[in-house]
Amino acid sequence: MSQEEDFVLLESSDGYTFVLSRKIAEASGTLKSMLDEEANFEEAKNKTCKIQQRGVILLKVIEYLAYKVQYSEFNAEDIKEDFSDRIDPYIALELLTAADFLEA
Amino acid sequence: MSRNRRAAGAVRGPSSALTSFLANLGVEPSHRITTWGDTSGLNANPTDDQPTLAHDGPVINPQDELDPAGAVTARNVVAGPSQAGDGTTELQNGNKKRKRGGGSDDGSEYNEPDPKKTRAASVDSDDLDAEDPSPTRPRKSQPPKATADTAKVTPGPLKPVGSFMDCGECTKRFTVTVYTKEHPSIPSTYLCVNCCYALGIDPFAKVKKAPQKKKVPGKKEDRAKVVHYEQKKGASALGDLCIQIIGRYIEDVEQLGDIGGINMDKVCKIISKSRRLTAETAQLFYSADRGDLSMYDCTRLTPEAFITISKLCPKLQSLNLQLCGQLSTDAVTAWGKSLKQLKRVELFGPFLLRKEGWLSLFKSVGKRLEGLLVTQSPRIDLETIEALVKSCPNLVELRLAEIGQLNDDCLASLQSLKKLKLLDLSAPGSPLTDEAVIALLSKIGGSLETLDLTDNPDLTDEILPAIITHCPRLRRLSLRNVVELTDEGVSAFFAKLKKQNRPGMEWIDLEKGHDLKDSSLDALLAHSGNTVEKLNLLGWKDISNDSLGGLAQCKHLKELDLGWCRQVTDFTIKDILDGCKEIESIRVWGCNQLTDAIPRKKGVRVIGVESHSI
Repeated sequence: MSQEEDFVLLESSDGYTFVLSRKIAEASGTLKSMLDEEANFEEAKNKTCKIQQRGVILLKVIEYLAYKVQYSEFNAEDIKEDFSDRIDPYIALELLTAADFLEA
Repeated sequence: MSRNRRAAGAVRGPSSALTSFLANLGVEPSHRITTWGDTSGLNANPTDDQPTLAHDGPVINPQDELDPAGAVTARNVVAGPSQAGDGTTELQNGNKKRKRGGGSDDGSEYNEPDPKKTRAASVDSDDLDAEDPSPTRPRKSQPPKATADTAKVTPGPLKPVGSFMDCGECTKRFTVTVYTKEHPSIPSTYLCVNCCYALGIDPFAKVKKAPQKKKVPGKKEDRAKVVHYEQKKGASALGDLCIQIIGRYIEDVEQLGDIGGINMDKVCKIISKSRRLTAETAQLFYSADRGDLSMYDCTRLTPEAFITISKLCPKLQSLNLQLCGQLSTDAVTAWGKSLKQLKRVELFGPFLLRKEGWLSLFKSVGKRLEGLLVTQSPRIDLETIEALVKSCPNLVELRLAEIGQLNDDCLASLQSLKKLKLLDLSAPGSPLTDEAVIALLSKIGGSLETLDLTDNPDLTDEILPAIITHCPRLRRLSLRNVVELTDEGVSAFFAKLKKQNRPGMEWIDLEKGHDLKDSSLDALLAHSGNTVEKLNLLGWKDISNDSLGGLAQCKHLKELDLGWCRQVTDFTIKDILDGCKEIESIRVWGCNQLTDAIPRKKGVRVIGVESHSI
């Protein structure tokens, strides 16, 4: 099932939905477990995860996951693009709780 | 010449202990100064070239022995201790005296063409040199007469300091020193000191250091490379990035958004993970209107950060610091001065906090203090406890867990704390005895609701009747690892509680009650089965499966630990899951009859199933 072009759906608490490739979603430990097909969770069957975070936070998390996947093979010091430039301090705390939950 | 003079002046005595020590290190005068050094007038064969000679080693020179030497003077003996005295002559002695007396101009006085050369370069003297591997003696600069008859020697690597090599220029044998120079035109051959002068090379230039310096940066580069291999791959975690940002904007809290809307305690727990709570990020949790502050891993907080608490959170009533190893006496004193509403202090591991700190805290908080919960402090002693009891009579919660100096005497002084509801005296440095605990309970047991006597191996069944008599309100009891408890004693305890119609317990911890069996559990369930919320039966190795089945009647049981109860089976767990409606977690480490088929229930964690971990 888990082919290259497999997509999953994330839904935020305020109703926004995001479609992203499984590869990017699985950069998060929590999402990976939720979507693990052997675990037989509802989320894995429907390929839909409800995340109790606001859409704007979830969007930023997904953005980070894509960034993480992009640079997964790079040495830490070779990464010139600093993701923290893209984080608004205003959401930093909320993002921190989301990141902690999602093991991003 | 001038060089010789200078160097000769720098050497105190030709044969002093210092000189020989320095010579062994390769430090030597540029001019040879020995008692036997100037034998030009005595030796018959001035053509013989003498290789390097140690200035103070035992030298037994055949020529010297042939000398018509005079008396042996004390100086001679000192100069050449192993020389048996007759190797030196008065004349040598005279030379030496001249040299010493001459001071800086001894070199000029000492201008015989080549005094050293007059010595026989016999095999003997070579061997003797080998015995004393002192480096090449610098000679008086002399015309390089040897250059004329240059015979090339076999090139080779530089030998270790102290060994002999043939000079690449004059082929004469010399001793290798740290200063030995390579021949400028013939690679891999080396020069004796004389030839160095002849070729215009300073024989004492510190050439060796240049290559060493080159090596050092090379090593550093190597190290840097090693670090490079250990570089982490991939981007840093989002949580870390957020914490960095929070740290950056910590001064401007409004930038961080609506802090009130977020559970700061949760944020604190997240930041405390993996020791990321630092003096910078901790400020996020300080605010003037906070009434209680809990920080879960203060390992990296500095003493200053603890002092800051008292300045930035003046309204604190309750303070809970876990792993506060760097908490200093000054910080606690500052708390006492600034925190005017402080009521409850919980500290885990305040190792650096000295007695004065405790005393000043007790004194300044005084009657306000309702809770003092300390785990692991080596500085709390009888005097501290007496001061606590005296200054803080309103204590409701007292935890003195893992206090090294706690003993029976301390218990006696606790007897006036009549308002205590929570008392924790677990794991004291010297185990408490039945008598002391019973005496204490008889005074303060009336209001106790929680009693923790974990890790008191000297306590026996005798405390159980005392607990019944003196602690009518007790709801939470921990007698973990009180190994002397017997099955009869515990079952009688619960049977008597039942008989007296005492309300059931909420928490019961009888972990490692190795002797406790079925009748204890039956009596426990008969009395507290309907009320117990947390039950720990870890290590009840002989408990039967039938008895464990009774756990199913515990309606309010939330947490259960069945570790190392060997009879637990999948069916036991099924009964508990079915019967206990509120159960949340069951620990089953060491229950090796459990299989993969262990039943599950939504919202219940069964932790420690062996077959799961394999």
